[in-house]
Parts: sequence; C-alpha cells; structure tokens
Amino acid sequence: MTVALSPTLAVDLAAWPGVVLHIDAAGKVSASNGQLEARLGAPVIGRPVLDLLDADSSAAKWRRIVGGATRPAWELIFGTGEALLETGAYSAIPASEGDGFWLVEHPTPRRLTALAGEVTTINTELAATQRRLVVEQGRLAHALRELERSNAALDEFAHAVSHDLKAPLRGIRQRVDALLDPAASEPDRRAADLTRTRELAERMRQMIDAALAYARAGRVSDRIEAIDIGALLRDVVDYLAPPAEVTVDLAPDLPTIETERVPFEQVFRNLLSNAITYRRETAARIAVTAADAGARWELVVADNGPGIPESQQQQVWRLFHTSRPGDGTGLGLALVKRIVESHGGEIELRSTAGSGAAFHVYWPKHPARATGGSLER
Amino acid sequence: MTIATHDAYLAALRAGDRHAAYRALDAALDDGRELGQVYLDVVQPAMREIGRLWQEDELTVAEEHLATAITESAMSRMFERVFVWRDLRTPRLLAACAEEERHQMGLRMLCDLLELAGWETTYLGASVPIESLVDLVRKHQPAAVAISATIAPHVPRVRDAIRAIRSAPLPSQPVIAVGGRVFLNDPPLAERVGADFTAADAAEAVRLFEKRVRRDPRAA
Repeated sequence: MTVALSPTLAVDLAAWPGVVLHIDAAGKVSASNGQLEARLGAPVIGRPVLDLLDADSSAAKWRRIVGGATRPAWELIFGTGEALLETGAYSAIPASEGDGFWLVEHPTPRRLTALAGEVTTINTELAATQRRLVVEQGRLAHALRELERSNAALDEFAHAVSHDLKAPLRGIRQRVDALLDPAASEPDRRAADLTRTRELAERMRQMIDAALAYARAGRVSDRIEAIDIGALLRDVVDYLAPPAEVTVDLAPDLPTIETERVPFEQVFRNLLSNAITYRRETAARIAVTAADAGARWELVVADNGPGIPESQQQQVWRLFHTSRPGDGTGLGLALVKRIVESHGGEIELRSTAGSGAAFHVYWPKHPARATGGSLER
Repeated sequence: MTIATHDAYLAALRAGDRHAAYRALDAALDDGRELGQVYLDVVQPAMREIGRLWQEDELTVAEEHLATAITESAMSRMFERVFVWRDLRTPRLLAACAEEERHQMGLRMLCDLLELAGWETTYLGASVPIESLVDLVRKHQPAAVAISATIAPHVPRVRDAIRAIRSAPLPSQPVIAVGGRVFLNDPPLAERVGADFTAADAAEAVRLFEKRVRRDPRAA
C-alpha cells in the first residue's frame, strides 16, 4: 500500500507497525496496509467499516468522527462475529477532497502491552490470595475459639471429677475410720457402716462411668444419615414407656434431619426421660415441636411439670448435678449439652418455677465439620 | 444514601483516587449496608458508567484499567471487613471467565457473596482455557460452576466449555450457570449454550444457586 505524499514523494504503509485504512465517503474500506486483515484473519476491502467495528464500544465513535468531531486519538475496537481485537488508539485524518477518512493506528510498544497484561494478572491473583487469607484467618480464629471452649470444658470436667468424687470418698473414709475404732464395735452399727461403704463405692463407680460417658460424648463421627425425627421420637417414647397418665404430644410436622443417629437420639431420650421423671402428678403433658431457625432446626421439648427455679437454671448443666440427691448420677443434662454443642448446636432452658420447663435444642440441619470436642485424647 | 455513595465512588474512580474510593465504600458499610447491596448498587453501576465514559471517549483505556484495579482492591477490603468464618463451608463453586474473556468483576462479586452465604468458592480468574477448567472440575468436583462472558464472540467458548464439563466422567454433574452482559441481553441464550440458568446479577445468581444446589425452597 503505497501512498503518494507529493508528485515525487511516496510512502509504503505496509511497513507501518499498525493498522492503516482508508474509509471512503460511503463508509467502506477502500484501502488497507494489510495489518487489519492479518489480525482479523478476514478480508476487509469493500466492507462497511461499521461491520468491522465492535458495535457496543466503537460504532458510536465512528459516527462522531464522520459527524466532524476531532480528537488527537480515538480508542477503537475492531472485530468480527468470531474475534475481537485489543483496543487501539487511532487518528482519524480526513482524506483530501472530502473522500472519507484515513484511520491510522498509533503503534504501542509490545512490551508495554505485555506489562499491562501482567499487571492485570498480578492484581487478580492478589485479590484471590487476599480472599484466601481472609478465609484462613477466619478458620484459625474459629479453631482458637473451639480450643478455648474445649479447654474450659476440660477444666470443668477435671473440677467436677475431683470435687464430686471426693464426697463419696470422704463418706467411705469416715465409715472405715469408724470401723477401725475399737470403741465402736456394735455389730449392727458395723453392718450398717459396711453396707453404706459398699453403696458409696458403687456410687463412685457409677460416677466414673458417667465421667467417661461424658468425656466420650464430644466425639463426632461421620456416620451421617437422614433421620425422620418424628419416627425416631416415637421409638424413644415407646422405649421409655411413660405411665398412662402422661400425654406425650409429638408435633405432626417434625422434620427430617441429616445427622448422627446415636447422639441425636441420646439427647432426646434424656430430655424426654427427665420430663417424664420430673412430671406433675396429674394431667402431665410433654410436647415436642420444631421450628425452622435458618441453618438449624429449633426443637423444643416442653412439659407442664414443676419447672426449674431460676436459681438452679445455671446448675442443671453441671456434671453430677442432681435436683434430688441420690437420684441418678447427675449426668443427663451435662451430657445433653455436651452432645448438642459438639455437633455444632446449642441448648437453652426456659422455665419458670411452677409452670413447666422447655428445653430448646438448636440442631444444625446439615452436619458440621467435626470439631474434635472429645475430652479423651 | 446509596446514590450519594455511588456518585462519590464514581468521582473517586474518575479521579483515580484510591483512598477516596475506599472512604466512599467504608461509609456505606458503616451505615449498615450489606456487601451485596454495595456491590450491586454502588460498585457495579459505577463500573458500568466507567465503561460508558470510555465509549464516550471521556476516559482512556488506561484510566478504565486504573478504575478496575481500584475496584478490585476496594472489593477485597470490603470482603475482609464483612467475612465471617462458618464452620460448615459447603457446597463448592468453581468460577471462571470464558477463554479470552477479561471482564471478571461479576464473577468476583458472585464468589464473594457465595462465600458470605457459607459456600466454598474457587475463583479461577480471567480467560480460563477449557482444558484447565475441565481438569479442575474433575479434581475439585464442585457442586456448581459459573462461567462468564460479556461479548458475543466469546459465547461459543462458553458453549464448548459446558459441553466439555457435561461429557467429563464425573460422579455427579455440577449445576452450571452462565452470566455476563451477553446473557443479560439475551437470557434464553443461556439454555442454548447448555447452561442450567443465568441470572441478572450476582445476588440473583446466589439465590438461584442456593435453590438449585442446596435445594432450599426458602431461597426461591
């Protein structure tokens, strides 16, 4: 493509390192230095320039050029249905005698274009890395909280074991001291002391078993199954066989949940068993209902029993706590709380003395990742 | 308030003033706006306006690139501020721009919003070759894949990428969504390229992914 600059001076634009086009007054490409064809892989001579410009980004600019607007450079994107070129800066120079325009691309150093691409890539990778860091930071903070919770549980556990096992031990010690006292040798009294010693030893055994069960309760396995809560609770009630005067109402719309069967069942067996044990004498009612709480189900075991005085409501969760001394091991609710929390849930007690108690269990709809809450190592 | 934020943010982008841009978005979060709202009501319209200003020759490509870079870092800052770790990070999404495609803002928004909804997302970035995408789908087995394209010439690559995923030997096929301006202008195109759905914006995409992947009726 040779263009005459004067009768004696001509320039071959094929050597120009950018696109050079002549667009005639009808808007068609009438001459090209070959660059655009090479980049598009398609002929351009004779085609309307509007067909070669990206409609969204560049067509309106061409219309402004034709309308007489002038700028040192126009940023234009050429393309066809199959390919789009990178943005280029073009000068639009009116051809002599009103014969359309010359479009001349300002060549950009390749190196600069490559660097711009690199900067964009680095920027994107930086953004992605930043996201990963934020997520990891969250994971660590969460793990730290879990560890603190687990340490607190361990402390509480150690305290409960050492403190509460001392009571029966003290009792045994007293009885043995009495037996060793030569002054106290009445056979009836000795027999009573021995019987009591045996009872206390048995109680200690139960407490140690309970402590072990409590420690194990934090274990989370991955045996997840879909459980129809209604069907499961009907089985539990069947097993507990409440006296005829107790009405147990299971809501008809209890959901299906994805979780581990054994611990889930253990929680509700304990709660229902407690509600049956601590019932009122006549017209005792126990109701289980479910409500959607976003990522969790809120499952409520409510009774119309004597309720739990506010002063005791914090105590009920303690290991070895019992409301009636000598009644059970005091494991039930401590175990329930531990199971619920190690499965990513929460449990709340709402009660007013004299008007029943309601245990609200918030259990995740889908299994949480194991948090390693077992006290056994 | 959001309009004021938008205007302040756009002015900061036009001026290439990163700190002013941060201040505008910080103020929106301080006011209690949610990330999705700031993305969709402030960042996205401002970036569209930047694109329009380039078309009008009010801005150069270099200025547009600067605005994009500022927006990327502003989004990272906001994400860092609002992200809360959840113990359960499923399901997983793989997001990629079609081969040759450079516009990544929409996918970045989608990934951030899904992360906040508890998903685990992997963002592969601009111009992902089909083979790499299929390899990663095979490796990570995501529940969902999102592919974006803004212009018509990139649509055949989206179609080829979807075909390649659909014919890959996978234990279960991911839900595949497509997005970007070309699908916004012609939504039925999504089905023609073999995608499961398209969405008008990142927030709608989050809702549809929640509905299809978690089968959560409340997300409908």
